[in-house]
Amino acid sequence: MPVFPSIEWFDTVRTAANETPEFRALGSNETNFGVKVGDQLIRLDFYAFECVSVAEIDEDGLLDVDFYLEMEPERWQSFIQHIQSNGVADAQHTFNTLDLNEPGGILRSHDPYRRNNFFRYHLTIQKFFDSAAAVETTY
Amino acid sequence: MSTQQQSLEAVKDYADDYDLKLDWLDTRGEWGIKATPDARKGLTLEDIQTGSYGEVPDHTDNMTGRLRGAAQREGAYRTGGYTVRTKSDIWLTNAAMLYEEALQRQWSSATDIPWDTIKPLPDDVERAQCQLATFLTEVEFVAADVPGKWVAATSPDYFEPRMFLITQIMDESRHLDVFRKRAFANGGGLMQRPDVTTSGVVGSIDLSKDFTEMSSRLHISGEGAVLTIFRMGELMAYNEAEKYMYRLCGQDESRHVAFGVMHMRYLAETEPERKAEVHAYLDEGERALVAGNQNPAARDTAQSEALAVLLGGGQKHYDEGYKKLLAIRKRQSREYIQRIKSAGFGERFENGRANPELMEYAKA
Repeated sequence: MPVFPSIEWFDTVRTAANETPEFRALGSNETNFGVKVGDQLIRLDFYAFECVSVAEIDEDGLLDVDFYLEMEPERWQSFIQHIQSNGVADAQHTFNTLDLNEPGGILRSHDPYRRNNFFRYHLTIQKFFDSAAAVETTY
Repeated sequence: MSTQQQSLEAVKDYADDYDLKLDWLDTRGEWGIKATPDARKGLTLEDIQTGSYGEVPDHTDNMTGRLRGAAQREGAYRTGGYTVRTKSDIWLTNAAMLYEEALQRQWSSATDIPWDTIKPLPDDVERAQCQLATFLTEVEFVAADVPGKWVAATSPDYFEPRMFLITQIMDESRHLDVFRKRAFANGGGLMQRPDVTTSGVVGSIDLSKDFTEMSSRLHISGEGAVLTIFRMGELMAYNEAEKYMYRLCGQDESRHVAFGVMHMRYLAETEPERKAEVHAYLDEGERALVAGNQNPAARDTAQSEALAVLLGGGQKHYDEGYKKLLAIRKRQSREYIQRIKSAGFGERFENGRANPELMEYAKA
């Protein structure tokens, strides 16, 4: 059973998302972004209609991504568990809402133009994480 | 097996024998092009920017509707009254990519919005929702109307940004229709039209004589402000249908903002002498951001009051909603500042030129 956060977990979600017609139907993407879980950093690359790769990166790697989403490990855990119990993230748990409600937000970027890619693709990114609903996870 | 060239020669010999005129066969653009589709995306406009077909002229006097790379024809009518004939006036580095993305990420207001999730709302909330919908239908009308003029004004040599503008017209039309549908979906209707969407600063978008002038007003100031409102939709939606409306409109709007930012960046890099002029457009846009009716989160307008009612959860919680509105305004201001910096005009926030009230909003 994949552990969150790990490459194995993100790869399993990646496979699940890429096989979901609704994920692909949201349209093409061209973005890469980071997921920061405490000290752990994962980079996801989206291209065309799928997530093409996941990889571990270090802090310097955050300079190369369009943006990254940062939450404490327990917040991420609660986010994933919510998706798994609800099937999808409800309106209170979308990244957009979490960013708006959290003082300081959860969306970070070193480049304002590249940061805009979150808004361009936020439905796709959300749908990607919704695919975690079917992934058995340990923490 | 004969080659293509051998086949052509055979046809020409036949034409000579029978006195047929085939000189049109020699009149063509660069030949032998074989574009390769991207394995994942398919054959995109970027994939066919090959050879001389990918060379965009800095200036063009092409007034005939001839697409870039096609051979000229003597005696062609000057069918186009193109005023945009200088590359830097309209260009950006990724228009082709944004165009393809716009095609791929279309949606339908009829079938992609779960309209059945809308249930009766308290009267004050329904009225506020309808007031905001009324505002947004008119704003989106303007945002669809204005680019149309510039489509017709742009030389076919710059067809990539031109075609992006056509997708924007489609997007904005859909935004108009989705908010109009919302106004009629739950026992309400349209309400008071905004005071100045077709006059004042928003109206002046349509009076722009220069594409960059228009783009700074429309894509940067106007759509940037509305993008923040769409993002906040999650906080003021009362059902799944409204949430989907805002989310889907938000992704389109961010694409339009991306177009504007990248065009401004291109202009700043290639024609820095025009920066002073652009700063003047931004001065005007900032005044509207803090106090004009173009921005539903600006102060003292019917739509800002509607927003406060929606954010607070009803008229009784207006003050609470107004506090949230102030938070939106702060976020709008900060996002605007980041956007302008990214476009290459950040010096206005260092040299005191930026609107002081806007800077106060961002700090608050």
